[in-house]
Amino acid sequence: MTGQRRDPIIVIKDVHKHFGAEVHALRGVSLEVYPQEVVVIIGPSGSGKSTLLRCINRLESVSKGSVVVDGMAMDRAKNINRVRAEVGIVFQLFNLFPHLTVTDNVVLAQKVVRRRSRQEAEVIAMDLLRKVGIPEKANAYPAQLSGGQQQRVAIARALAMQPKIMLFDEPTSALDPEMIKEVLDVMLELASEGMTMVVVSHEMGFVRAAADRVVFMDNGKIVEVTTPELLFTAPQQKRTKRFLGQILH
Amino acid sequence: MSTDQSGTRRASTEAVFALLRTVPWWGVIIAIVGLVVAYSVLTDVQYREAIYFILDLPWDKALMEEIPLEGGTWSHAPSEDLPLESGTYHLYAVFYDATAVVQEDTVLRADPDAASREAAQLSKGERAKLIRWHIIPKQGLQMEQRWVRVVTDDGRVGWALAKQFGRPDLEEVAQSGTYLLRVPEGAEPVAAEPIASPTEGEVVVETSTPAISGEVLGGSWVRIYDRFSWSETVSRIWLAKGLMLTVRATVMGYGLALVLGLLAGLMLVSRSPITLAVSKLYVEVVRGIPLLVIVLYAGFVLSPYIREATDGRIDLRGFPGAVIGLGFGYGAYLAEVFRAGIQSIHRGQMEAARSLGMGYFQAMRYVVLPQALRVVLPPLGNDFIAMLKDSSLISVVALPEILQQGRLWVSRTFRAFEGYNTVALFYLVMTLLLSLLVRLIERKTALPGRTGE
Repeated sequence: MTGQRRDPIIVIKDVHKHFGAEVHALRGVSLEVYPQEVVVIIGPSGSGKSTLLRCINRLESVSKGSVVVDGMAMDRAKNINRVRAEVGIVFQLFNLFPHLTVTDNVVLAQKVVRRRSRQEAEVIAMDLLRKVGIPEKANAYPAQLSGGQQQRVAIARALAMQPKIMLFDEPTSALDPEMIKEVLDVMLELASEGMTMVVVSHEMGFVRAAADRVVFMDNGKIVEVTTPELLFTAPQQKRTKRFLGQILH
Repeated sequence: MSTDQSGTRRASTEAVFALLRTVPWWGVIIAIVGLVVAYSVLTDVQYREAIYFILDLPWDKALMEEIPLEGGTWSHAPSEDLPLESGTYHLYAVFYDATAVVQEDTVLRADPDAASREAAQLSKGERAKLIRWHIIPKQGLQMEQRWVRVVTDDGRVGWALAKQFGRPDLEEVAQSGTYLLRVPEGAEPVAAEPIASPTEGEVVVETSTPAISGEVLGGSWVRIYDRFSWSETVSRIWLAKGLMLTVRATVMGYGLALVLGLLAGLMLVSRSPITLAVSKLYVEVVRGIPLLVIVLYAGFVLSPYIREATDGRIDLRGFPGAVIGLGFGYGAYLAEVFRAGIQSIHRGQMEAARSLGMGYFQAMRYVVLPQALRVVLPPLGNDFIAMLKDSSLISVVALPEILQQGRLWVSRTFRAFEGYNTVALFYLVMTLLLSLLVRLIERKTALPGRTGE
């Protein structure tokens, strides 16, 4: 567990989230994430993993509790755009901008939010596209790319803002099996560079290779926080054991 | 045998169908227009005048007067009731041969007098050349009598009443030189000696009713024109009645509707209850009232009110009011189009943009709207075409757009068939061009890898 001695960069304190009157998606979740740490959140569908992730950059507002990112509270509206620029997110369905070329997808927010010149932004974009391994697709449109390529562009787009934290919301679950590896490779490289990452994923290979801590959630609560080694060898809770039994054959 | 025959028949029917399928959609329209034109040619229907009238031609010159010729000279002076405004005039005369169709069997007289000797006879449907006029002024209750001297190709000559003939076709035979006149500021309408011949350079006259005259160079009819400069011509095309007025009202009205519609559409998807309420009120109220009523409100309620409230400084009566009415009415429809377009863009697009740190309006401007506009292009084009047609409603505030001009022409000539055909064809040609244009824009803005490319 690296960086434990430093101050946490994300502090989630007793967060509740309601959707309407019936759905209580998060029931008092507290979690701290430290700089350069890779935290993977696992759990059955409907357990609130994605909701928790989306609360970190305020794509969902919290009903109760507090989220502090990099020292800025996320309930203050004027902080939101600033924090969001520091927190990159990669979505399950990529959410690339289909009307822009790959380069322009990576350039747009740099120009609009970071106020970089077009040339400067394009240089950064090309560097990142090389890093994720698809510089030759710079002038293609998203619809001309495979799913894996699209997800790598989405990672490059988030990285272009030079975020301190990267959030991944099931980045490989919409991909064909042979494309998963190319995306995971990019994520592993990021982790090895020391990026702070919060990942919702069931890719146990990634958990094993990169995770510092694993958070198991069920029914809107954190059931167990553990390390990959302990997770696979000696899970503490029955619920965790049952879940792992179902996804690991 | 019979099965063979029906088989052949089926094959030939299929061949016809296959041929029809290769005809593009606009080919069908052109065929229909072609049929109308062919019918018109075969039945000797004349569209030229109607087209001229609805286009408000000519654009490069103004007809000052149209007069029949008598003797070897012609002359023209503006009446004292209609003096020339100050400015420079490029006047010139065009001489025509006038031929007309005889409306019913007619006896030609030796003199312009019903009691004079019979000179020859004309039968209905013949064509004759009208070479000179003689007008007998009103006497008592009798209307003035226009007599016309007539020559036929086979040499019959004589006088007949002008009303026996249809409207003459004019064929240009000669043109005079240009009379360059300048009427100074503040000239009075005073009778003056006619200026007798084409003049090089400018002639400054002291009267606002300058007379000009010249020799007849041929023909039996003269039209005096004022020729415009190139820049004046352009501005006259833009300001012309009929077709151009419709184009102007549609383009400006649609521009206004786009602005209002986009604003209201953005308000319709906003979360603020106030903007939502305002935009919903606008859309529901305006959509629920006939456009005709809205145009009448704009023309006869809003415009006079604003004029009064601002002491006449802002006068929206006439064209501006009509444009506001059209734009305001269509803005409500476009608001719904824009709302649907924005909502058709996946929520993830807004989330992705916001998660990169863009504000709501930045995300709208750079991510959502560019995609939404591609989606709504076909319905926007649809509404543009609908508005082009609905622009005929502004004739109720006495604006001479296509339909109004067409009706005016019909009421003058009693030729409803040609008049309304011309009106319909003008609309049809414009809407066809527009739908071609919309398709072109759609094709240009289509994203690669999306539409089977």
